[in-house]
Amino acid sequence: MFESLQDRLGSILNGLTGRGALSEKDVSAALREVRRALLEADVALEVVRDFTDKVREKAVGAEVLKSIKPGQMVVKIVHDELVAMLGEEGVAIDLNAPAPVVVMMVGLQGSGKTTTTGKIAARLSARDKKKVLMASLDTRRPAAQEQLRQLGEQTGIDTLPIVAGQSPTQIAERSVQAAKLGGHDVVILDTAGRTHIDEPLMVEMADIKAKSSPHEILLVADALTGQDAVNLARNFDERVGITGLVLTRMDGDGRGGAALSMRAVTGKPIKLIGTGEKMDALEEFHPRRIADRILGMGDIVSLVEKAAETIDAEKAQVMADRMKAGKFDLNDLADQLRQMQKMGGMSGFMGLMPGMGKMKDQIAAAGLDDTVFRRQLAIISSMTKKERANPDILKHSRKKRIAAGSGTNAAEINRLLKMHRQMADVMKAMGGKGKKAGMLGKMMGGLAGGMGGMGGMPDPKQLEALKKQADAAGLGKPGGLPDLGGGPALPGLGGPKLPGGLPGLPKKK
Amino acid sequence: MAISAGVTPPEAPAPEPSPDEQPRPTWFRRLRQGLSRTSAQLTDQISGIFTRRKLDEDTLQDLEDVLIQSDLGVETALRITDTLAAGRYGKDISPDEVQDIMASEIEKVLEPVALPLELDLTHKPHVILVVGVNGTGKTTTIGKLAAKLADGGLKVMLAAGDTFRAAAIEQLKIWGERTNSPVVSSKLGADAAGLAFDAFEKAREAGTDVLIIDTAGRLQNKAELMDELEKIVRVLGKQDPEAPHTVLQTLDATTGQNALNQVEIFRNVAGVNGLVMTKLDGTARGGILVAISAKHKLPIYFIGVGESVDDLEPFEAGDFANAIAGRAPAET
Repeated sequence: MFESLQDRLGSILNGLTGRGALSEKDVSAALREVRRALLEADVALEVVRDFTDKVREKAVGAEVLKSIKPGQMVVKIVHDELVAMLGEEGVAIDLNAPAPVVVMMVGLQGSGKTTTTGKIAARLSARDKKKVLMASLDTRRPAAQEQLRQLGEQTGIDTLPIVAGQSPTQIAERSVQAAKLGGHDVVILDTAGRTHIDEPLMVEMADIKAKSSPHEILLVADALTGQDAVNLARNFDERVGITGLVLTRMDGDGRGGAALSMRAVTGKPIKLIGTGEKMDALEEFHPRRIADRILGMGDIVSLVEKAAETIDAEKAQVMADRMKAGKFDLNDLADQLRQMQKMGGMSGFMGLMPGMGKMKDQIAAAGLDDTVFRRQLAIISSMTKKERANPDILKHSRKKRIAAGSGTNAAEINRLLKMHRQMADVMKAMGGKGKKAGMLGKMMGGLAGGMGGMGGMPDPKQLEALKKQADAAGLGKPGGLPDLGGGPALPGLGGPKLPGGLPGLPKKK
Repeated sequence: MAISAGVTPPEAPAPEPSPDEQPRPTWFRRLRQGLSRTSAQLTDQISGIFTRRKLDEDTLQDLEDVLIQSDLGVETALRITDTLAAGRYGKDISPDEVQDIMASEIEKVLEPVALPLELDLTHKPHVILVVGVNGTGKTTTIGKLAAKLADGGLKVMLAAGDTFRAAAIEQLKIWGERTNSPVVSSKLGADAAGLAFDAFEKAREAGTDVLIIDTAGRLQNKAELMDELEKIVRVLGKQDPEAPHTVLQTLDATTGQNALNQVEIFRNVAGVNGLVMTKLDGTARGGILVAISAKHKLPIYFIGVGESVDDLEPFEAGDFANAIAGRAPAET
């Protein structure tokens, strides 16, 4: 539902071809879109204002790098500034205090405190080999204490025995004592959800803090929170002085602007993020990824991770070698189709690529969906080994047999063969020229294969190279790309170019 | 017979507060209390914007910002400021006037969806399925709703369909005790659709008027969890082709633009036909409700304004619009 910022800036700033320094006018035009993108991502207005002011300061007069459009330069500055604001590095939970280290969880109702308590306890116990005690101080919500007890049972973490009628402060005192006696390294206090303007409850929270002197006070907040994020973060911080943030429901499809808002108004680090319902779905916070998500720029990191997971690196390497040698038969094509399928098909793949939003739509409009892959795979599966290795022998009677076997028709087979022939030609043309393995080779085989080999992700240089290859491989010219879908020749690919240089991508770590 | 639950006067066994002194403006006063800080700030902002100015681009921009801060979203905020500007652009305008117009524009959107929950009691039981994202207040809303219906003299049964989250079943059971409603439950990890099916049978045998089914919270982008929800709806349809008769979705007032997505998908999958906005006792204004109403036109039956059993109030478009526009309530 969201247009990516890059798409937007693209349409606004395509006209601007000015080189040299960024003018005030360029920046203002771009920042209007940045502002809107941030607001749609639920970044709080006051934070957006601060942020765009900062970016304006940096951007006006900034040198535009060669081969980059002004809008893209702005995006890069925006991205870098976002990362800086979110905190360059992840910060872990600090346990550097005399045992038992007290960790106190606070937050609004329904933000996920109890679940997060269980997750953190499980993580500290499994990763850091800490002996953890969990205690629920939530005497308000029905069965809240029971919930934590059950979580403790599920994860094998000790929980403080429930004593009916005790007040939250009494429970806090008792849990610290129990942790001392029980030899626990860490005690996590799960407090009741409270609205930050509920005065008696805020007083109670301060009392709990006084009684248990926690080393960490973590504000648990929903990543889907809207504009109110600033108010709640500020209030909780003012009242108890939080030491960090935990964002839950990061596995939702929200853009997570609340992360920026809360980080900006409290200055406190985001220590962990909740990414699922299971007890191990708790991850470190990566500012760059969130920055990309807020900007709607795709997530190149997860793309690479996904590719690394699904693509057999060795196999890809073999294929890349074959391509370099100019060999590309139907077995290779089938492999590539399968890999595309595994990576979530065309749309999944494109969705993860920054700046490809537009292309994705056009591909969808051309009817090139994943059923095409399936049918094409069926055709190849219906061939003999000999036919796959040497498609030239496919004449009328063989095609008839294959059509019957795969439930397709001769026309579809012809289209597939044509596509293969064109791809093979491209491979041949691009192959044998050292690094230039060709767009498709790079993207489908080389990308993950090369990644696997290098153990990293593509850095911007590589991506730029990739883009140049795309141009070179004829993606820029209509009809240059093999007619993948048959019928209408991918209209999108001939039109707008890939964003040059893909600025603002995470740099190689 | 159709009874309107929202209007049903609360009587008899409510735990603490005496039901007699529950006049209509209560929730709004509470809402105002919650909103007081930010509303005051908002009113200042609006006055600041308009004391010396004409209605021009900058002013409209500032006004748009005010709306955005209530989570209306950029698009909805723009639409409202556009309407505001139409015919008034370049003219002098007082802060009061601006607030009036703003409130009335918002009210126009909300008025058609501010409806009381209608129960069709020819269905025995009338099934209310409660769905929503994790932590939006499903179980608490069910507790409050059960109390309302039971107070209205209806026979209510609850079904603990959240078989995933630890102690969700216990939580609902406590609400069952508080409201004297029987609770049908199985154990953690059980099939929720099967439980819903059984619960319907039990409710029919017991001559229950209303069966309220709780479900596990789920993010709308989790396909397998949404499939599970669809199955619950499908299975209920086998018992009564029209069941579930009411599908209530709870929305957290603090949620931002994602709430729009939530409604869109839950509506497609589970056939949501009514909304409840919870946690309006904080500083969040729940302005996303305006965008949701403009787009989906789903009735908003209740708002949740606190943790106790009577903190579920009918939704009043005018009051809500006033709160967003930062305008003092019209004292009645």
